[in-house]
Amino acid sequence: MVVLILKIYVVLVVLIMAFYAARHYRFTTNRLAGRQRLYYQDLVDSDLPGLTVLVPMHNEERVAKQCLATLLRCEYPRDRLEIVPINDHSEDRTGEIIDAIAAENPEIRPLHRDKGHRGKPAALNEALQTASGEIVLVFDADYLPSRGALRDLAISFKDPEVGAVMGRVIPINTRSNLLTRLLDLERSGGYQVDQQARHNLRLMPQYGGTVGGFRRDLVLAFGGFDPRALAEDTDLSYRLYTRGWKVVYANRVECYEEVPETWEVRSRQIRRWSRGHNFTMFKQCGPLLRSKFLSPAQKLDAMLLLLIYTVPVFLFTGIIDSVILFFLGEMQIVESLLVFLFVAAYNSFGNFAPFYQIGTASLLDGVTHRIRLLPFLMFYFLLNIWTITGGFFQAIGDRLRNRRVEWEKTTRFRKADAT
Amino acid sequence: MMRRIVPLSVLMAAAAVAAVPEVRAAAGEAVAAAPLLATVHVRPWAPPLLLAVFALLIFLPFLPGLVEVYRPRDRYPLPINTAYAKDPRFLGLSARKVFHAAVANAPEGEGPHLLWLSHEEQVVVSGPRTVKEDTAIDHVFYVRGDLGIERRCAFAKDVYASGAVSVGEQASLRTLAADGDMDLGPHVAIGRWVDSEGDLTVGERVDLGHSASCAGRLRLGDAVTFTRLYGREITTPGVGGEGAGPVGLEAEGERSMLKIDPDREIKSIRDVLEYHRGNLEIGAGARVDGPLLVRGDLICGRGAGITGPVRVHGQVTLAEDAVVRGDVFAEGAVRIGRNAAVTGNVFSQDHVEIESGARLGRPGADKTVIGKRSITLAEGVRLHGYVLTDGRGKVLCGKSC
Repeated sequence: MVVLILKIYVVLVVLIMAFYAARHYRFTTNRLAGRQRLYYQDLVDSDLPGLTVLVPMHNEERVAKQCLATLLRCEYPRDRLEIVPINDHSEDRTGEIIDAIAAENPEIRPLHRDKGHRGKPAALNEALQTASGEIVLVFDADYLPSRGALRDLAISFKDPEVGAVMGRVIPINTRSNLLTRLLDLERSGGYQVDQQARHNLRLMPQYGGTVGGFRRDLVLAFGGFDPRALAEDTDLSYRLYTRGWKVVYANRVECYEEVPETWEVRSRQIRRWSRGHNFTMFKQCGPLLRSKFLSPAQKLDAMLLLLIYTVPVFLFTGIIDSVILFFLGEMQIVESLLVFLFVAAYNSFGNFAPFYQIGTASLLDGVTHRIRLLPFLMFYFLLNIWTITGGFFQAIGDRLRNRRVEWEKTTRFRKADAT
Repeated sequence: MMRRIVPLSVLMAAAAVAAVPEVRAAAGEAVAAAPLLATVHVRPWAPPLLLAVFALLIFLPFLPGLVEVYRPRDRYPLPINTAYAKDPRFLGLSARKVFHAAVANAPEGEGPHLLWLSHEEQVVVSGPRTVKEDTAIDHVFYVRGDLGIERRCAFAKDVYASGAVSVGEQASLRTLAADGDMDLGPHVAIGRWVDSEGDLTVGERVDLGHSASCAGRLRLGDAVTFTRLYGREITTPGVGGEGAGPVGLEAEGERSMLKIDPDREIKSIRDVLEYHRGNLEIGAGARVDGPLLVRGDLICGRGAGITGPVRVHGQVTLAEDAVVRGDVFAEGAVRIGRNAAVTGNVFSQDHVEIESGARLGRPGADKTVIGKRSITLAEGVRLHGYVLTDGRGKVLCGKSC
């Protein structure tokens, strides 16, 4: 009986992996040869909505000044713009820096938080109470938006069905080491192919919590962000979709960010993402399946996206399962020519599906030498399998104990405030 | 050396035996008969060679990557133009900056100069002048004053004039920027773009290339083809007099955004706008208060009106005299009927067809018409702002054709 269960589990894992491989190919072929849908950046409209830009900051003295200076350079009617840096329990000079810039720029209205819970969802909730713009954009403190980014993101809300918008993130510190270059490749695949293909196919582009925005009153009417959610962005995406709104993706609204430069920091970051995303998965599975606003294809895509941080867990446990079966001499699970062909085809193409996706993204970005680094992503994927599995079990613990998780800030690597 | 290799070879052989059940069974018999090593005659150099080949094959895919790590050719961040901000006249305005900067550094006086634009180019600086018919010019032309171009002239490089420009029929130009009014004769072909600080008048059957923009009015002739248009007011033949915009329509600004009451519980999108799962047909003369979300097709009957933004998953048809006071967003084609009006933007992932007498946008405000696949404009159409297609834009043939 145990052996039978182990065998069924192996087959299940193989099918899951094949399904995700097919999904990678669907997205890749769409970007290479499919119909591309327009985003709204070409709309020129003199009636722009009131806009509030929120920048949550916790001990961000290294990056605060440059981020705010870049935001001040952005083009948007000044009478409709408000920039709110949120000094969230900082213990360094962040508050001082913000106040100094605010003294010279009336559109900067700082919010200092030294009471209540620390963390992005709580900070955003407090800022939303006083924000004056009907549209809210969020940028992390290490982000450097281009001059047209605010307008290009805000214009999408002219469409009444749009609940949130997401722009593209591009690592700026790629030169630092191999890890930052691998993260650059991963980001390219994730945005240039994955997000854009989901936009093209009218599936589920995702709001990513930064370089993006939402309707203030809509989020307030939802009761704000869930303070228990580490992945408040994913949580919002699913709350919007299941209630009939859409998230749109703006591939041309590009913004630089800083990515982790050490494997340790990256591990912590990805573990936190896994923990947060899986917490949202437990929370949103039911509403997703019950939603009357999504087509079967959208539900399938949404479910695959929701389960994305469980795939490494399935893979990890599947490998352990197959090793056990091997030593038990029970590896002959299904025997037929068809199965052989399936396995051979998967080994030839399926295993490489994410690599093709990333390669395609690099091709579309017009940078091809970096494709030579693709094999190194194998080590990165191995790290992900381990850390994501850890995060998954933490999320189960969070769910069972209904515990509130302390927000963990990603370490910054910028040497000094590069102003 | 051999002491190290032999145990390793034993391990490899054992692994090979363990890996294949049939071999394992056979080996089991062999082991029972004699010690393993005694039954296998392996040349001493074979295991290390095998190991070396194995290591090489594992290492090989990483080789190009290692080259990239230690001799990087592509390590810089993806380039972002951080100074970029949407401006429909970007091409014309940025070209002027380059021309002025180059000419400011040139020796004084008229005549040819070798100047740095995006690369070194021959630039002929001239006072007001007229280029005689059938002339071919293959250098950049910088004119201080008015410029007349007679018919069938061909300009292979950029042209700038600080005054008004008149272009004769069948002339061809790569780019043309003028600080005064601009008049393009019939059958003129523009390779890339034209931009005028004044009004731009376009004759029949002109190919406007990638972009035609002006700070004033843009008057299009019959059978003009285009990709992007920008002007304070854009008209096709048959529009008379000053553009008063949509007659009797209030300013659309207040109704252009979705309004949500944050104190109200919102269970779904249905709580904040008019939601229709299938097709919606609005009867002739009826009035609907939006915002409106239609997951099928929308047909707005003759003289009907919608107030507020409209989002349609299918096609949109506005019949004669229908009015939308707000924006129209559609996945399918949009047809705006005779004398119909939209005070906001029109955005379609497909085709946009605007019939005679239709009015889009409103005076004093910039609005946009986007049809991803194509845009066709009939006679007597008036628009305000920006028109763009990824495919083919065309003014339909009117009386002159």
